[in-house]
Amino acid sequence: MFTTKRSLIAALLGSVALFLILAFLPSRVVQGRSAPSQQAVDPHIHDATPARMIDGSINPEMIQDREAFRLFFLAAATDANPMPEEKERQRAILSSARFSEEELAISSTVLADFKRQYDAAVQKYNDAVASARSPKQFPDGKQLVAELDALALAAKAKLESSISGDSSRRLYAQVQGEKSKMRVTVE
Amino acid sequence: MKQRIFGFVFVAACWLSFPRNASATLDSGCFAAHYSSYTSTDLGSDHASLIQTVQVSGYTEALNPAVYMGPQLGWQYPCTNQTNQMQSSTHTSNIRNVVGSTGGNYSQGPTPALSYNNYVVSITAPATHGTIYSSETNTEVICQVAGSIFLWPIWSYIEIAYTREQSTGVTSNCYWLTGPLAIMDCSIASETFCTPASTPPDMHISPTEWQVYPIPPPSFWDTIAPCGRLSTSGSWHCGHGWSTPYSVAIGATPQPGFCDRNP
Repeated sequence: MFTTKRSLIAALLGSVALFLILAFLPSRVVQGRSAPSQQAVDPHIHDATPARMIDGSINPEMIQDREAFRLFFLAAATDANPMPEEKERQRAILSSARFSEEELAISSTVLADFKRQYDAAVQKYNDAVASARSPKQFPDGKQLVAELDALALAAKAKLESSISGDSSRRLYAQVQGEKSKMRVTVE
Repeated sequence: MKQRIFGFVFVAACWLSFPRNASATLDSGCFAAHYSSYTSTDLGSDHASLIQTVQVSGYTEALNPAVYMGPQLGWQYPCTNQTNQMQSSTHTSNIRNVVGSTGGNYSQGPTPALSYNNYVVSITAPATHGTIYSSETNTEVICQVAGSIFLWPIWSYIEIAYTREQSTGVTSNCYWLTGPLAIMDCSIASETFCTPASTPPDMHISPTEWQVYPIPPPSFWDTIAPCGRLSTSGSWHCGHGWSTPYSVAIGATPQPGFCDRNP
């Protein structure tokens, strides 16, 4: 009985020591994310972490203009030689800005150019993904999104320099209103 | 017996020491989904159709964090295997885009799981003003291995609404149009001018921009616009409308409009 008690005390002391060692074991954080312990690394691939989302129907003010213009222009853009139904879609989407016929023609060209550059940037990214041989070689998705946002803002500036100030204001107001129909990832 | 007690105490101590790290691992993963979605519903130029465009775009990021596992193991990349597995798997973008009986399910892919994808689907649905149509949109990205990683379904009801408006004569935001001709536009406030049975109408858009010089603005006008709501009852939220002057013969009395009313 005495032996059991002594063993129990020794075991307790040992466990406390082990607890202290484990508790203060260095566990650093890299890339701003919590470091998973070896035991907790999920062997499954089902751990695609949902990034934080902004629901524009609830918080439209949190959606950046560059993101909103990117999504809006992508919906409105056509290829350089659009089919009649694509033209019709573009006119319908841009209708709130009440562009003149001349402004519609200019916007069609600007948006086709935007789409061409957008598709080229995406293709370049996807080619880099396909040729990557290790995770370190993966291209930076955030950098691609920043590039696409910059293309949208450049298209906006080009459009604004070619249409009347009133049309520009109406376009801006329309895109602000459309934010309520968008959902974007916080980058 | 001694071994059992020691074993119990050891397990208890270890259990006490781990929770602080265990919860962190649930929040940290090997991948992050970065997708955006946008749906627009617009009036066709024939004013008898609704054009609904649904898009989803984005990518899946391989995080591959480096983790310091202590002096013996050093820096480790616990997500490497998953990342390699993901690199050889695929994603599919699904869009559901339905207005009334027009549209359906559309799919793009499979495409490499770590690539950037855009998918835009547009439908044109014939629509009669005053008729309510159910609208279903959904954007979803399916991972071959992980299942659904982005999902945004919306069910709503939409209509093309018609309302006759009567000018109150109150103008605001007047400006001269740029160009060789002297033309002034103003926003003119209005109130609805509908039959008693169709009052209040589903839509009331005020003010409306009209030319005031050199052509004077109309006193009455008819407006149509796409409107939507999330349930079978409740208020309608309307988008940009088209207005045309309501002309009255000289000496005749303006008649209230049979506006669309679906409370």
